[in-house]
Parts: sequence; structure tokens; C-alpha cells
Amino acid sequence: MDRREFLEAGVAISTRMLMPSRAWAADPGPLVIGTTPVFLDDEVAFLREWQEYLAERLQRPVAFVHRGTYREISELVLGEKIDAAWVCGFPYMRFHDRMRLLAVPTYQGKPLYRSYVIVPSSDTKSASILDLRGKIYAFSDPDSNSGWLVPQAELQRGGNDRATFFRKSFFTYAHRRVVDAVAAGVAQGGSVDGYVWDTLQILHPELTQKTRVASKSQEFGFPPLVVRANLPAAEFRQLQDVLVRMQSVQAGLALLHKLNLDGFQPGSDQLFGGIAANMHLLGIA
Amino acid sequence: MLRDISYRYKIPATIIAVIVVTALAIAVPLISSANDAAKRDLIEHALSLGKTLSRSLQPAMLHDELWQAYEIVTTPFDRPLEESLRKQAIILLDAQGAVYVATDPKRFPSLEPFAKLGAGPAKLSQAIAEQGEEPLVFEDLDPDRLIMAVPVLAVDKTRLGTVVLEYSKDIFRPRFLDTLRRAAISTALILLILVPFGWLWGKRIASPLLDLSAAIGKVPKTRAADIQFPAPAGKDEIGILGRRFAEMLAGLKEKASLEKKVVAAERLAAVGRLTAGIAHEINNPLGGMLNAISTYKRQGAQDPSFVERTMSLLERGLTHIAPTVIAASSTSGSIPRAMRCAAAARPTGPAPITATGSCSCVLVLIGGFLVDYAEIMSDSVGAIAQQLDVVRPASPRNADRSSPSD
Repeated sequence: MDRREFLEAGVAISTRMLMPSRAWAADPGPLVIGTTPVFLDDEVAFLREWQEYLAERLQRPVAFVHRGTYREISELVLGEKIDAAWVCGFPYMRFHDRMRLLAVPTYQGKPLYRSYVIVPSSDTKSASILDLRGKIYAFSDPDSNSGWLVPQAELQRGGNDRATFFRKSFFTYAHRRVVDAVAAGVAQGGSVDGYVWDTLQILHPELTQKTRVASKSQEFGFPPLVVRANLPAAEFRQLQDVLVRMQSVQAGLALLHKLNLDGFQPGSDQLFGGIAANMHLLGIA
Repeated sequence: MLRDISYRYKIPATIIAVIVVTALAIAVPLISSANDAAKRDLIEHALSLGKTLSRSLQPAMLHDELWQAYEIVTTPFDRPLEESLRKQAIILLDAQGAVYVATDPKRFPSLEPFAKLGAGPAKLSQAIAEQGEEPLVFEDLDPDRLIMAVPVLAVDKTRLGTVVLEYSKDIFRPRFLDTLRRAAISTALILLILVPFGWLWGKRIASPLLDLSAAIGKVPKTRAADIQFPAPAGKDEIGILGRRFAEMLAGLKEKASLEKKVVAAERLAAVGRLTAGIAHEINNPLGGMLNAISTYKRQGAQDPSFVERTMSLLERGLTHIAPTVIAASSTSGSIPRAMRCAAAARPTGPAPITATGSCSCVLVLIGGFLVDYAEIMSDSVGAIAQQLDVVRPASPRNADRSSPSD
């Protein structure tokens, strides 16, 4: 994609976001994919490579859309402003009737991941989130499974008052920033996507070595890629096929390697049963 | 000690010392001024940063977005953060004076009352509590740190918190060292040019003084005529002194010449007095002898008794002259001609004394004495002249003046 094509795609995306959803059904235009910090979406160079890869395979322009929070991306999907998004399992389970599961990444051979409780490396005693009472705690995003739902459920299961358990808690709106906050000492603990922490340990070990994984949660369905509910079936199949075949193509494999993933699979809602259970535990519809 | 050092070194060294002191006197205030300017720049920059942060932090504090506040306060810092934290820190205090967030959370943990974090923070907290809407600058609150406090105000001027900017005074050191290095290089270059110039200039200034000193040093040992000293042309003190010395040298030469003339004149006077004395010692007896001879010629020819009386008078006269002639001849070293004449005129055997024989013998003696007298005078004058030659100057002019003809 050259500069002209990029600008044209940008104009098309803006136009589509402003237009009613039905109006652009006849002219699909570029495929717009929203990203969230369920992976390292601030790696701009990688996103460009992936964008080019998808555009080449789909024979249509592809554009990535970034927003500051999970909620904003979810709302774009729900509002049919974008075609697809890589979201967390938690919002997917909340809105699974208005989103379609496109694909689930496979990590370490499984479409599953864990939530980590991390503490500063100087803290050698804390072994779980329950040891961090009265501390300052960092959550990722209020719509993140690993960065908020899992620790909240853990506290709930322990019979703690979630509102007062921590002296203070805050959101960083990115898993990477949770690691930053704990490494810098702003927070004495934080909940982070295990896949993101593992990937950071490969890419930026100088950062993760300032933290220690105090505990790991049970496995949950890996943050999935979803599409808007009314995406045409042909486009759905084409996009799903391109994603699932990435691990069998050299260029796709290289991209997956950079993502620290094994590949993509169609997945199913059963993978997210644990998330649904936690939602039920916390009374979230 | 300093007084014993030659002006050959003292003047150039003094000029170089003045150059070095001047260079340092210029460089040191400049460095100090640069250091002060660096501090002023830092304060201005920090206050500007503090005001910017204050505005940026307002929504984060209003919405209690701690991480957003942390990202804002760490924005001005270079990465990795740890290296920057040694030089500066930013602490955001809430309205109650507790740490909301800081760039160095390990040193300033969130939610801790700032006043309890040490004596410095306690003083600062007190000052902040009394602070109005204007930023504060604390240069002496901490000996090692420069601290500024900028309030975070809501739209209605309600105080939400305070941004405290803390800078290590070591932050000036690289800039100070850089200024010092630049000043040192400039000063060294200036000195590299001025020091040799100063040395040569000093030598040039000292040169007439050294020439004068060397010439004066020769005065007691060397004859004034042998001292070569070109009088300096300048009108400064050394020029005046040099010209006076040259005049003094000329006076000494003239004095020496006059002294020689006086000695020669005194010796000639002594010769005159000697010859006058000799003449006096000879002339009186000679006059008596001539009178006796004259009387003998007028009356004694007919009276034989006159012969004996005349001879007796002549003998007494000659006896009177003889010691003078012998003394004078000892000066010249010659045997008196009178003695040789007497020896030649005296008969070899015994002979009666006759009037004619005695008269001729006496005349011979007188003639010999007169010749001796003339020679003695001539020899005496020659001997004196020879002695004068000993002290005669070697110059042709003086040699001419001291010729034997004088």
C-alpha cells in the first residue's frame, strides 16, 4: 500500500464511520479492523506488515483502527462502524449476541491464556493477589478479562470487599502499562495478560525483570477476533480463512512469530466458559 | 629573594604574570556568570515546565487518573527513566499534601504524606501550605537540590494539588564543566599567543637596563676608555639614565687624561727644580772661579803669588762643585768628563806646579765640568722623559705629547 492508497483508505474509513451501517453494504471498501491492547498493538511496524499481508491475501485494502480503551473498540463493532476487532473474551462474552467469533489465536499450542498477578521484583513474599491487601494495585482495563475480571473474581471468591481491599487501584488501559506501573513502583501489584507478559519478556526483558509473577490464574479462552454481526458471510469466510492459513504460509508464519503466537483457529464459545463463570460470580450480565 | 633575580627574568616574568592574572580575572567571572545564567535558565525552564504540567495534570487529578498523571509527569524525562531520576524528580502532591504520584515512586510512594518523607519535604510542605497561586522557587531549602513548586489549579482556582520539581545541583556540573573547558581552551590559546609576546616584550624593556647595568659593572675594573656603551636614544628613565652614564663615562675619560698631564707636569717641574739646584750649586763656585781667573789675568801675571792664590780659589771652587757633579752623574750613570780630563791632563810623574801648567790644568777641568754639566742635564731630562714614557697612554695623540723633545 503506497501513500495514495493509504490516504484513500483513511478517507474511506472515516466516511464509513460517519455513514449509517446499511449505506456501505453495497460498497464494502476497505476492511477495517479494530485493535486493543490484548496484544502489543503499539508495535506500529508490525501492524503495517500485517496490514499489507492481509490486504494482499484479501485483495482489498485493510486498515487498523486504534482506540484508547476496550470499550471504544467494542462500541465500534457493536455500532457496525468497523468490520472486525481483536477484543478481549470478556467484552465478547458480554456482547456475544451482537458479535460473531471470527478466530481464536493459539498460544503455546492452545487457544488459551492466563491472567498473571505481578509484583515488583523486590517483593519476594507475595504469592497471590490476596497478599496485596492495602497496597496500590494496577488493573489493565475495566473490560479486560485478565486485567480486571479475573482478579476481581479472585477477590470475590476470597470473600473480600473489592472496593476497599486495595488502598488504591487504577487502570492503565494497557497490559504493557500494568507492567510499566509495577516495574516503576507506582503500583505494588497488578493484573496482566499472561501472553502479553510472556511476550514482553522476550522483547523487553529489561522491563519484565523488574517484576515477578506472583501467581497465575486458570486458563481462559484467548482474546478472540470478532466481526460485526452483519458482516457478509463471504467476507467472514474469506477473512477467517486467511487468518487460519497464516501458520501455513511463510510470510504469515513470520508475522505469527513476531506476535509470539502459533496461529489462529476458528474457535468456539465454549472456550470462554471460564469468563462467563466469573461474570456470573460478579453479577455481570 | 625576589630582589636578587635579574631584571632579565623579572620583567618578562612580571609581564607574563600580569597576562595570566588578567586572563584569569576575565575568565573566572565569565565562568561564574555562565554558571549563574545556567541556574537562571534552569529555573525559568522548570517553572515553564511546571506550569505546562500543572495544566496537563488538572483533568487527571479531577478524574483521579493516577496512571495518566504518572505518564504526564514522566513525559519530560529521557528513557531509561532511572538515569534521569538521579538528576531530577517531579512529585505531584494532592490537595492534602500527600504524594499523588511521582517520577520516582520508590522515593516518593503514592499516598504517603509528603511532610513525613524527610526534613526537606517537611519544610517544603509547610511552605506549600502557605503558598498562593504563584510558583515558588527554593534555592537553599536543600543544599544539593533546587526545588520549585507550581500549584495545580482548577478552573475556579481551587487548588487540586502541587507540582514539585526537584533538580540536583549536579545538573549544572556538565554545563559548568563545558563552560570551564571552553574558557580554559580560550585562555590557553590567548596565553599561548601573549606569553611569548610578553616574554619578548619584557626582554626588550629590560635590555637597555641590562646594558646599562653591565657597563656600570665594568667601571671600577675597566678603564673608562675601554668601556663601550652606546647611549640609549629614548627619553624614558632608562634613556635619561643611560645618557647621564655616557656623559659620566666621557667625564671619567677626560679626568684620566688630565691626571696624566698633571703627573707629567709635576715631573717636569721636579726636573726643573733639580736642574735649578744643580745650576745653583755649580754657578756660585763657578762665578768665584771666574772672578779669580779674571783677577789673575789683570794682576797676577806679574805676581807669582797670584798664581797660587788663584789656583787655590779654583781648587776650592772645583772641590765645591765636585759632589754635585758626581751626584748628578750617578743619575745618568756616566763617568764625569772632568775626571777623565783631569786624568788626561795630570802628568804621569811628579812635576812641579807651575803657574802656566796649573792654569791650563784648571781650565781643562773647568771645560770638562761644563761639558759634564751639559751632558748630565741632558741625561737627567732623558731619564725623566723615559720614566714619563712608562705612564704615557698608548694613544698616538698622547705618545706625541710625551715625546722626549718635551
